This record gives sequence, structure tokens and C-alpha cells, in this order.
Amino acid sequence: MNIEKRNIPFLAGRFGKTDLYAVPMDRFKTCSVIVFFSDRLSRENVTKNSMLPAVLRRGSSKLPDFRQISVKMEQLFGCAFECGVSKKGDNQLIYYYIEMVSRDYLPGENNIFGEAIDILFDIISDPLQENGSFKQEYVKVEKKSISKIIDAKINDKIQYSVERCFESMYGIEPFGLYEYGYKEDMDSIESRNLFDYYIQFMDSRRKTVIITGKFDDMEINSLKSKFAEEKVGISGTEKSLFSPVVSLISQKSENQVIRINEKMDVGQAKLCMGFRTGIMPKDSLYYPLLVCNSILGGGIHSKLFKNVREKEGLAYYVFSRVEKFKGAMIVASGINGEAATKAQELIMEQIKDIAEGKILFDEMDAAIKAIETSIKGIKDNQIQVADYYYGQSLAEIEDSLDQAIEKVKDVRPAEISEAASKVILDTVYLLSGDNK
Amino acid sequence: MDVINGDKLGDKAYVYKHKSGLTAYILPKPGYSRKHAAFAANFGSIDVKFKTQVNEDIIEVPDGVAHFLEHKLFEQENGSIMEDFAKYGASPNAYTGFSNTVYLFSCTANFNECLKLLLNFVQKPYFTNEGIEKEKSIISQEILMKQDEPEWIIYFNLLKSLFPNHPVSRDIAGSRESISYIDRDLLYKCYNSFYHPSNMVLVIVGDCNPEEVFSIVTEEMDTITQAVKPVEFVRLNEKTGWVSENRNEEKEMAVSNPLFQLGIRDKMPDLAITDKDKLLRQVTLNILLDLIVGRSSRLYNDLYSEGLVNGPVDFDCNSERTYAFTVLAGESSYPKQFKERVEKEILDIKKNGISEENFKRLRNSWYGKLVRTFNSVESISYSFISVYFKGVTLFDYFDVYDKISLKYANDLFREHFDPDSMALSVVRPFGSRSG
Repeated sequence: MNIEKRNIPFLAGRFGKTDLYAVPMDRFKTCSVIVFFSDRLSRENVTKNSMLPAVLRRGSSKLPDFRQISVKMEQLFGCAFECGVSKKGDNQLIYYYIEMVSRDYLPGENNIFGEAIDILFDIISDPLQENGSFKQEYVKVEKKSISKIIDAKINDKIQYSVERCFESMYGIEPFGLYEYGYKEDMDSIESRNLFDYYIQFMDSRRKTVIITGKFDDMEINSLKSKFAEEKVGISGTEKSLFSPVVSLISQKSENQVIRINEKMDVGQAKLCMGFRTGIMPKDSLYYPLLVCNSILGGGIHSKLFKNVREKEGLAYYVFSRVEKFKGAMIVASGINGEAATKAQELIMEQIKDIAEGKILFDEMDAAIKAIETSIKGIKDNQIQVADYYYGQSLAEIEDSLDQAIEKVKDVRPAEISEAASKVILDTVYLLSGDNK
Repeated sequence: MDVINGDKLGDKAYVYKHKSGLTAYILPKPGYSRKHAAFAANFGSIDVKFKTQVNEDIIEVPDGVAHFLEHKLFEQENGSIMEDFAKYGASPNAYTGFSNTVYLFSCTANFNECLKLLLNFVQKPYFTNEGIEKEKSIISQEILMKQDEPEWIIYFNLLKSLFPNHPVSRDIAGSRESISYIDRDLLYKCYNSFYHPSNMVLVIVGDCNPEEVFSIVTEEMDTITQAVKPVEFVRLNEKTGWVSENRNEEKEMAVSNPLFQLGIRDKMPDLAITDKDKLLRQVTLNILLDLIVGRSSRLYNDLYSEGLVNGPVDFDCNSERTYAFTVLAGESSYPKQFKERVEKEILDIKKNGISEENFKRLRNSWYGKLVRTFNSVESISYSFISVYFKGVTLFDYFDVYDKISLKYANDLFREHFDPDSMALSVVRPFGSRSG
């Protein structure tokens, strides 16, 4: 295989409904195949979309139950299989992936790739049918299962506080939806209408397939042969997976900060502050925003870590994060309920300092280096590489990992301050116990 | 410098021993961006009682000392060492386990400089009263954060049932009360007893040149270590009984559905067996757990279809110096019924024996999981250290894989999975009924 093609995805083929990319990374012991479908997040379809992988993984026509699928995967030297939904900006992603030991590292003459991808694509495209639709029992059980996942949102309190903050900030926009959907939708979902939805979904969508890790032309050709017979969707025009992530930078009419206090039995209060910046990945201020975020709360070098945790001892965790596809930033911290006001003031002070140019050279230098380290680190993980490049393509950005690093290194202090000046507080969410 | 070949995968480890007693390993990973270095001491949260030849009296320390020490080592005379790492774009971190404490960093540049920092800061304790008091406040917040995590609570409640009065059943960070007793003397006492190079290990994973790295280690260690003889210590164990009479711990928390952990204490029948045999035991127990309740098991699939579990059941075998146990964890509206079904399945398997087909398949599946460990510098480092102080290396897993036999598995199954060794821990939503 062409040595120049390593580590960066190259388009291995475009078929009726599939775009196949390959990212050769020989240093790994495994190879992975990940399949992405993308749909615009909508209240109408969000729950149906999360039901699809849940029901599909229960059985294909050749392997009609989960047990048989699992047995087969174990026979293939513990081939891992996962599927589910996630969110990127205003898009809901449905993903399916397998990861298996690469041919060179299997005992004897074993070659499992062909069988593994057969199982994967059977699960996706050839589900077990009962009376011309999904097996009723599977749909019934998965409705309950997904409902329980939705309920379990509250279990991880830190993650929950971030979700609630985004809900407040983006409630009217697709991004404010929960990727697993809503329990009340389950009443109107049953096997027939879900199956019809599935057929229409598959007919009108393209999928992206990415193979990463240690593989060769043999594996690529195996994959190509799976898609060679595909016909273009019935709708005629393919719904491009590259549908741009549109972000409605909705202005709040009064620019009032929303304050939410939720009570739950927690010993430690969870604070999450949500900010809008209006800065999108294609904007010239995007990389300065990343550096601003890193200086603010991107690790042990950050102002938040130094001032909120080390200096004041107010928190064990405090961090900030950019929601890339929405131009949003959050700051999250676990604190004593009584310290909530002081923590908020301190946090706002750090942002103001950055906007006013009060950035030490060491702070900026450490922030840039931290981002560089973290971007480079993506290359050490197959799934993260696939996810990164898929996200880039959804947002129609060309920057490779290496190009992103160069752009980060080029950022200047004045740009960082300018980015910080665009950080506007939208929501303050606090989860605290009854007594605090 | 010696070499250990991981033959099947082509990975290898280079070993080096410094005259101070420190052993260092390098596992080269050509082509990887990240380099990872971990410096670990064989001292953890369960080491609360010991004797040294310096002072013949028994030393008992409050819970949370090992973890407190871990936090405090980052403080140096001219500030926190974290800033020095940050200058190089590296992420330093540390974690305290039950039986060891690990200081680490990962970076994509400036590795040599960071390695020197690591070797130096861990071996130059600098404890001040002011720093200690401030840390109490930070760690109190950490303890509170963990108290809100259902998995953490469930786990420690399980340990209380399985190992009553054993230090493993107490929070690694201690409690706000126990850490209030920590002072400089205590920290230095523990540090001087356990943080000697001969009781530590350095593990480096990444695209590194072994000779170059070892020469840095030599140079730094030559400078740092005075010719201090190791303090001979004896770890003292609490006398604990068998599994508690109360084998059902339940706690209400803000969770959506009941979460459970079902634990089985291991009898550890013969502590004098070789370290590799202990590893064989641990690996085989993992395969047996998969057999009972893994994704391809009859039991899991029945329970899932019946709505008795809400998703895959996780399982693991934990084995340390003075204790070992297996655990099944998941979410279920009826944890007690789950337990009953598991007990029934265990009886069934004991009666009919393990099928050779299932056994071989699960053994091969486990091989795949082992191979995947070698994909990531972090997981190699973590796995390497977790077995190192037990006298084996990561590559010994390949030897063990060849040795696991059906007969051994059947015998171990009958011996370990004993209802008298079991306990159940549950966290349930407020107001929900026990079941």
C-alpha cells in the first residue's frame, strides 16, 4: 500500500449508497470498520433513530438473535461490536462498529475479516423480519431498554449538569434534543411503523464506512465487494452526509442570563455555566477560541485550575470545553453549594482577564502545547481518528489533524482576547442538595 | 539491559536495573504519537498498618494517607510541579489504588525533560503544614464528589460485606474525618518506608529508544539517590472474618433504576503457589464469569429478554496481595432475582460441567481482548503496572493463555463459585422497593 496514504483518510470508493474511506495505521494490532449514518436532529425522528440500532443488533436474517451474533463474534477471536447514537452539532449520528485482531496477529492461518464484515452489514441491512416487519418482541424489549437509558441520564451528575445546561441554551434548536430521544414517543412506536421508517431511512440515506488500523488491499477489496451492487436511493438525490451543520446563532431578546437551580440528593453541588460565542469552525477566530478555552480551563495549566482549585481550594474538578459545532463553551465545576456565587464570580473574572489581554506568556504557551499534545494523541486511537475526520466532513472543513496543529500554533494573543470578548454568558445551571 | 519478547505480537520490553534498586521497563511502540511514563510505588490504600526496622512499634495510619501523599508530592519548594510539565505540553497525573500509587505523564514532545521531572519530583518530598491544610479542603471535595457516584458507593458497600474490617472496604481517599489527622510526620514516615527505589518501578511506553532512555534514568537516579538503604518494612494485615452476616447492602440514591454488584470472595486456597499460577487463576476466573453471564451466555440472553437486566453485565476478577474476588455488575429492577438466577445457573454448570466448545470459544475471545490492550500506550502501562508488583509481566499473559485447560477451569469453577462466598450490593432510587 502507498506509504503516503498512511494516517490520513483517503477515499477508497464511492458507491450507490456508500462512501468508503480508509485510514491505514500499521502500528495497531487490530483493524476497525465503522459505519456512520447522519440525520438532521428532529423532535419527530430522534427517538426512532435511537431505536434503529437497538432493534437491528438483536438479530439479522442469518443470525436471528443476539446470542448467536455474540457467539459468532467470540469465535472470531473476540471481535468487538458496538452500535448506538451520538450527537454532532445539529446532527444525530447512528454508528455501528467492529474491531478485530488483524490478520498478522491471529494464530495459524486464520482470516476473520470477511466473516466479520458480513455479520456487520447483515445486522445493518438485513434484519430479522417477522410478518414483513421487525420482530415484535425485539421492538417491545428495546422500547423499554432505551427508555431506561433515557432515565439513566441523571446517574452521572456531572454529565447531567452539562446536558441540562445545553437544554436551556438550545432548547428550541435541534442541538437541545437528547440523542436517545424521549420516553413519551415510545407509545406511538411499534414494529410496523418502525420498520417502515427503517426502510425509508435506508433508501434515502448514504452511509460513510471508514476502515482504520492494520489492514491491506485485501480488506479494502473485501469491503468494496459489499457495496458494488448498491443502487442509488429511491428518492433520486442522495441525502448527502455532508449536510452542513447549520447553527442558528439565536439572539436572546433581552440578553438575560437564565438561571436554573435543580434539587437532587447530592453531597456536592454541580455547577455548569453555558456561554455562546458565535464562533464556528470555519471562522478565523475558531483556533483562537480553542486556545482561549485551553487557557481558561483546558487542564492543569489553566486559569480555572490554578485559581478555583489550587488557590482557593473551592473545587476538585473545574474545566471548560468548547462545543465545536455550536460555537458554545461550558465551564463545569463540583463545589460546595455555599460557594456557588463565589465560584461563578471567579470564573467570570478569568474570562474577563483573558478578554482584557491579561494572559501570561507561559499560560498561552502551555495552552497551545496542551492542544497540540491532545490533537496528536487522537492519532493513537482508531475510533477517535475516524470520528474526527467524519466530524470534519460534516462541518465541511478540510483541516487535517496536522493542519489543525499548525493553525493552533499560529494563534496570536490579540486574537485570543478577541475570541474571549465574544464569550457571552447564556445559562447558569446549578444542581444541589436540598439542604444547600 | 535485558529483553523480554512478547513473541506473538512482536512487542517487547527492555529491562534495566539501577544500582539503587529501581527496575525500569521500556516497551517501544514505533509510530505512536504519545509517550507515556509511569513511576509506581508498591504502597496503596490497604497499607495502613506496618512495622519497620527503624522503629519496632506497629505503625497505624489513618485511612487515606497513600492518596494524600499522592496529592502532596506534586507540591515542590517553588510551586507545583504541574506547571513545569505544562511548559512542555505534557499532562501529568497520578492515581492511588488499593496496593500501589502511580505517578505518570504523557506527552508528544520533550519526553526526556518530562522524564527527568517525573523522576525528580516523586523522589523529593516537600511537605508544608499550609500545603497540607489546603489539600485537606481539596480532597474533601474529591471525597464528596465520589459520594455522589453510585458505582463508587455500590462498590465499597460490596467490599464491606465481602471483607469486613479489611482496609480494602474503606474509601481510598479516606474520610473527611480520617484525613484531618494527617500531618507532616505521618506523611514522611510513610514516604520514607515505602518510597524507596527498590519498592518502585518505572514503566515507559512509546516511540522511545531504550538505550537513550536508560541513560537518562541512570544519570538522574545517580544524582537523586543518596546511598540510603531501604527501610525494611513488614506489612501487617488486619484479622478479618469471612463474608459478613449481612450480605445484602442497599442504599438509596438519586439513580433512575437499581444498580447492583454481586461479589464472590475468593478463598485464595494456596498463597504459596507461583505468581504465574495466580495470574492463571485470575485469567481463568474472568473466562468463567464470561461463561456464566457474558453476551453469548444463555443466562444473560434470557435475563435480558425477560427484562431482568437492562443491559450487558460487566464482570471482573480483582486480585491483590491479601484478597481476591470476582464481581458481576449491572442495572436491574430486581437485583435479588438476578442473584437467584445466577446461583441457579452456577448449580447447573457445576452439575453438567463446562462444555468444551464454550470454553474454547471464550478462551479465544479473551485472547482478542488481550491483543487489544496492546493498541494503546495507556492501557499497556496500566496493565503492566497492575500485575508487576504481583511478580509477573504483561507478556506472561501469553504463557498463561497456553496453559488454561478445561479441567483446570472446571475445578476452579467448583471451588470458587460458592454461595457462601457471595454478597450483593444495591443502590436503588429513593422510595423504590427492594427486590
